[in-house]
Amino acid sequence: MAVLAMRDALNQALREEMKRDESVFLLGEDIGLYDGSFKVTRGLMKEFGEKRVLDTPIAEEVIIGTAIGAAMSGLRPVAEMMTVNFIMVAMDQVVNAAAHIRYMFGGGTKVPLVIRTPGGGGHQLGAQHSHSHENWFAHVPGLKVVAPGTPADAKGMLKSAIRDDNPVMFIENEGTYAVKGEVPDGEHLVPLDKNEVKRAGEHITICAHSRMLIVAMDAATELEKEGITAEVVDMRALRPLDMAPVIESVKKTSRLITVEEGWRSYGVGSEIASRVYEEAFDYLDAPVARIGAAEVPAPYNKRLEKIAFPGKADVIVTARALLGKN
Amino acid sequence: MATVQMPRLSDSMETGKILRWLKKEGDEVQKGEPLVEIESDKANIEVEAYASGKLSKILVPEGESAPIGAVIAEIGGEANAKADKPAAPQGQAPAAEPKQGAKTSSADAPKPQATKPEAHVAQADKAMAGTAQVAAEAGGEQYPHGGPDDRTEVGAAGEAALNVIRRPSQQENGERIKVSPVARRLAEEQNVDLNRVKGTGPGGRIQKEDVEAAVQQASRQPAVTTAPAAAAPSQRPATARPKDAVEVVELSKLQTTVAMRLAQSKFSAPHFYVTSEIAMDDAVRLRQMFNEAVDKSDAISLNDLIVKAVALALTKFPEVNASWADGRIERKRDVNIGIAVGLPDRLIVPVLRNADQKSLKEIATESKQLIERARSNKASAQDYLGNTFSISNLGMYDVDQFTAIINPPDSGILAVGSIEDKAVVQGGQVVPGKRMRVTLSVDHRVFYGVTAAQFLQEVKRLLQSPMALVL
Amino acid sequence: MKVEQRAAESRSKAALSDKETLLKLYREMLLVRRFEEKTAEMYQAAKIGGFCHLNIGEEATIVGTISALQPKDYVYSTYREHGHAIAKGIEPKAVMAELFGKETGTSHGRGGSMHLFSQEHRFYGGYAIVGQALPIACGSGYAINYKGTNEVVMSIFGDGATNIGAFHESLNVAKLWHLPIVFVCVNNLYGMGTAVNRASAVTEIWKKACAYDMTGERVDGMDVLAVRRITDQLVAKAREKHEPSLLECVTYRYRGHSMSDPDTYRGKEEIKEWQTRDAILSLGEHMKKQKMLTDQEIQRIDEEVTAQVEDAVKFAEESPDPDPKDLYRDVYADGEAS
Repeated sequence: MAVLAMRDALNQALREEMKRDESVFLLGEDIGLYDGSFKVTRGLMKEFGEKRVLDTPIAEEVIIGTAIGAAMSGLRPVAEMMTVNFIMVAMDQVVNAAAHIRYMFGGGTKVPLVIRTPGGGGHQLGAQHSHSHENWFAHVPGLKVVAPGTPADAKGMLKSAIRDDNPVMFIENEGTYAVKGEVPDGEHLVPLDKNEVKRAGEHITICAHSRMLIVAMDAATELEKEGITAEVVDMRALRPLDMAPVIESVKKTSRLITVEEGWRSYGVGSEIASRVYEEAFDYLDAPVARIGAAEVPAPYNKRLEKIAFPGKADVIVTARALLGKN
Repeated sequence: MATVQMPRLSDSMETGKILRWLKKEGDEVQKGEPLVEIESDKANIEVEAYASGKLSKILVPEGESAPIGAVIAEIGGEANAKADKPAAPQGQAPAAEPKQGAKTSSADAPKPQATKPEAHVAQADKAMAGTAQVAAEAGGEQYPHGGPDDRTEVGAAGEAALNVIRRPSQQENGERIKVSPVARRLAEEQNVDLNRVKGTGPGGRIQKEDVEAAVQQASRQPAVTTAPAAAAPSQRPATARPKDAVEVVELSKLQTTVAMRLAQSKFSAPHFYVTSEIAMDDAVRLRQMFNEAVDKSDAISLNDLIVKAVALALTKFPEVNASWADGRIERKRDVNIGIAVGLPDRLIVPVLRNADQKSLKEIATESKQLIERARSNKASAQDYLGNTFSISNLGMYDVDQFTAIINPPDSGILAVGSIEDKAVVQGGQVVPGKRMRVTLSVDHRVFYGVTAAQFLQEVKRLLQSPMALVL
Repeated sequence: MKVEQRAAESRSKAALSDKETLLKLYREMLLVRRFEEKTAEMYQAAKIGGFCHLNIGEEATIVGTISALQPKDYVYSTYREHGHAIAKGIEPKAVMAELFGKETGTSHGRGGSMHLFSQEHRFYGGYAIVGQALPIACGSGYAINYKGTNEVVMSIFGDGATNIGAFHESLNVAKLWHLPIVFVCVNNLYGMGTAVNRASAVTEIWKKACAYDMTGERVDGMDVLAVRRITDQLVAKAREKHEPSLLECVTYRYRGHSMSDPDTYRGKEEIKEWQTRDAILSLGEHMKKQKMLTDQEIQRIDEEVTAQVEDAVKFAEESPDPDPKDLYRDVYADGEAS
């Protein structure tokens, strides 16, 4: 068992898969010579060469397009979109092409492609560098979407994603690259379609993913001091959405909070809540409480930004209110 | 004198490590010249001097780390006491607590001291620096970007969710009891009457713990006697006389609702009344014959005959099977008869749907079930919906006649009195006969006297030729 | 900046002279023509739904280019692709069945007119977003280099696509990464209802290649032999030297943009004028002059391809619809790689 920062766990995953399978290659802006803007791809160009670690121009559409064509032609590309905010320039390729090609061509081909991209805010980077859009992708049939929140899950899921024959949106988070955690030694694979309880509790269920998982866990620690035990479910698998652990938990606690870094309306929490109403309606003691970013474009000012993005205080106070302990 | 501070070399950097001093203590330094090589979280960067002068003191030696903003060297100040580079930073060691974000360090960086530090101060500084080193070695960044999650107040992000939870209760007309799904399920399972449970949730919502409390309470109280069957009025349990001058009886939610709606009905619908006396001899005989031929469980009551008669009459008089709706009359296709069930503490009117299409046997069976459910509090909302006309029967209480209040949204209700043996004139002779008085209350906005009279005539006709009801 | 460029090439002087090749070109163009005419008829008979874009008039740009490729080479086309699919070797009946939405179609009825596909023939689609296929074509080019094989990629698109960002991004990386790709721009002078001179600052499309230091050529798209000659050269350049190029074929579509287009933005005279330069007729005339074809033979070939098309329609008619139970099939690919 090693203790690794998230970025290093991801780096390991890439290195291992590239060693294992020659058809795996990386492409993206500044991933090679610059070692990646967040250093996830550090050292890989040096080890594997320019053909397998391709520095591209700043041209998101052709980056994803090239990845799609290469995937259809027998390779297994891992494309990086420097931040999820930039992926919008290539949405046509991601949704209209990558997600739909297999189905619209009647199953005649497949697109084994991974798109790695970090979302998240909180570093005063302004409205065009701070948002989270995994819910947009989770909406699209044909894509798989995952958002790991621990280094162990990050490594295991990236390896699984590379081996999966479908286009996988691999959602990272700028705020978690430095977070450390234990990562098992040896071949460590994590399935792309299983969510899990990261912390057991009796009184309330909290669903969170990516950086918000850390926020939820922190909140749970605080709540325990007040005698409230929160069960935290890591929603790392967003499409397909594994609701089983959530339903099981809600049947026990009857109260649910969802937390995400994206905007609240039409967010991941909306889908989780809807499914809970469908599958565990008679177990609820109160409506599902959804916490998301305040619905504004991310402000630059530090204090404004801090109240606009969810923090553990939001989760703690909401949990208390939901339990009637205002 | 100028201080050299650990620079912020990337937006994510929290601490930096000194890789190499490009100048020695005592060297002359020019502004703009490369001074030191620093390792940030992302890269090794050469940092230039921002002042000119002699590099008087190096405070953080090669290989050591310091947080952003900490003073790492001095230009143009007092020379360092020791000639060789110290192993640990001395003097103004950076005030490095791992818990602090980069943003606060610059403000907290201790001011440079002009005199040599006391030994104990040097001890403390050394200890603090040691902590900084540990922090730096642990990977530099203790927190996700943007510093620690130290906000203690709810932000805008949490407000939307809280607003939902804390929403002030909406006052509806008391028709719906607010119950959470799990509480409702629990109440059903535990046979708890939700009308008697006080809700402590938002807006008075009954929650699981409220039902649990009610269950607890019930288990401590003696079993409540159930209301008697309609045919045995003498078994009504006695109501205790107030001990004090005034005994306040709190109304259950249901009673409150009923009270309000009756008042509403009486005061908004202009009632008029039509009474008719019906010869029930044949009806009584028919019933007797019928019940002799079947099992006790399949027996029909007089009320069943009345329900059928009224239902059939309604099919002939659709203007009676109607409602007043905001200045318009709504005629209903289906004939759903509300059967008033009186219990000591409440009045409920379960509905027998499509009564005109059901046989007497079906009406009998269903009525029994409806009434039983209502009595034992197992009725569902469906049982009470959709009435188009109602019947209230006090015949078992030796009542000659009475007038009833219309049950909204109906426009008519038939109040049924007792069957009396009395002397009647038939074919010029005085003979005994069984007579029953019924009084029809009518919402005068919906239909008028002639219709009311004719409708009542039809009911009378059917009850007086009761074979028509068997069809 | 060293740029190899050549201005418009008119009638080929040193025409291809081998009868077998010419016959093949002739037959294939006529097959595409008859197929498209039948498609129009089937569309109006409501046998084909959705959008339907025809290649009628452009046959030389289809057959002249694709015939220069080998079976292992990749072709990426657009939504105006029926002719390209057939020229790449897909059986007309599989194409017609797809247009009819049948399970036996190239895409099992899931794609329709705009999303034909064949792994076996390396016909890599069928895309409805203008310009979308160019970056994807670059991906196949990259894979060829990566694996060290010697296929070529041909990306075929219209004049309208040359104004979208993806076009520029693709030409840039094709040159930057030395991709073995020929970009074929079928310039039929109109992007839907907008004439090229109202949409493009530069109306001679071949010139746009110079921005990427790339070879640009222009050819008369009504002369199949000229098209074939220049394509041979550009394909060789791509295959042997890994040098991408842009080939502009100037041609004309006789019908509207799609079957729903009332075509009011062009004059009837213009259409007639182009029809006098019909590629099939002119090749036929050329071959007759060279004593390679007689009128009877032309007649016979016409009958044969017409019968082939009729067969395709029959096949499509008799093929089953996809089973509703299979609605969710192939949203994902099952199983892991390796």
